[in-house]
Amino acid sequence: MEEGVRVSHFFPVDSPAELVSRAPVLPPENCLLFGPLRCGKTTLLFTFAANAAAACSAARSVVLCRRSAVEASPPLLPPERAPPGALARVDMKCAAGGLRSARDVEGNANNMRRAGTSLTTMSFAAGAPAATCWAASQRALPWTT
Amino acid sequence: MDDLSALVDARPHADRRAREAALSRALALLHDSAAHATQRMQAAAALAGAAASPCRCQLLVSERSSEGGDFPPHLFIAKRWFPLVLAVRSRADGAGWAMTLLPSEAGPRSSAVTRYSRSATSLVLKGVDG
Repeated sequence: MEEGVRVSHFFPVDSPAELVSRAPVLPPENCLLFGPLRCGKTTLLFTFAANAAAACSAARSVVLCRRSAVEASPPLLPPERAPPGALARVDMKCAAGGLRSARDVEGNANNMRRAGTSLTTMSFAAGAPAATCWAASQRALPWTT
Repeated sequence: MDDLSALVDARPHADRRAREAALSRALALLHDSAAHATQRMQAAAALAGAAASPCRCQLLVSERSSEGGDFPPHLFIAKRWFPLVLAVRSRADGAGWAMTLLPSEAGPRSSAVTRYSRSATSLVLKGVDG
């Protein structure tokens, strides 16, 4: 991502090419995205993560979120509109009780227990990559509009 | 990270100052974690023999605007950690949303406005103005 990221990366890969080419390019810096309730922030974030994971086969994305929130209002990214194979490289992680230490983000279970923080990979079926399960589960979950 | 405030508020805070301190700690943690991940990736690439690694961990955090306001309540704190701030606002004509990059002290930024709307199953890129 060193060359920057187009704003179109917040949207599905099948967006019109003419609009994608005109979308502004962001420098490769940390970014805050804010907006009112119901504007699609979670979907923008999740789509960005999927597109970032699609940048190359070694790329990987981690989405930190509240499980209750995303289950109540899942991101709107149908698997068929995501980059092929990218969802398998997106990990959904839930932080219950907030973050306390850098180890929370690293996902070290022992240190998380010591810090009293629960950080778990969201999985809808044991043994399968979280994002794959996530994508599959979207078909079963009611869409929230 | 989705919904920064919700994560910070997952623990009770005695007062506004304590909440601001918790927010600062969370942002510092995220910032340091992304920097650490970048260092590890670049070190691994160097060990593998890559001349110059383009690997980088990019941090993207979403936050709610305050009720009745255009900005998050603690934007002045968040700006310290984020060179880029993208704002989503409701369009004046009510037809969806507009995403813009806030001006930065670091120099001129793109003033393009990206328009999008929600369909039943996804977000739809509608246009780029400016």
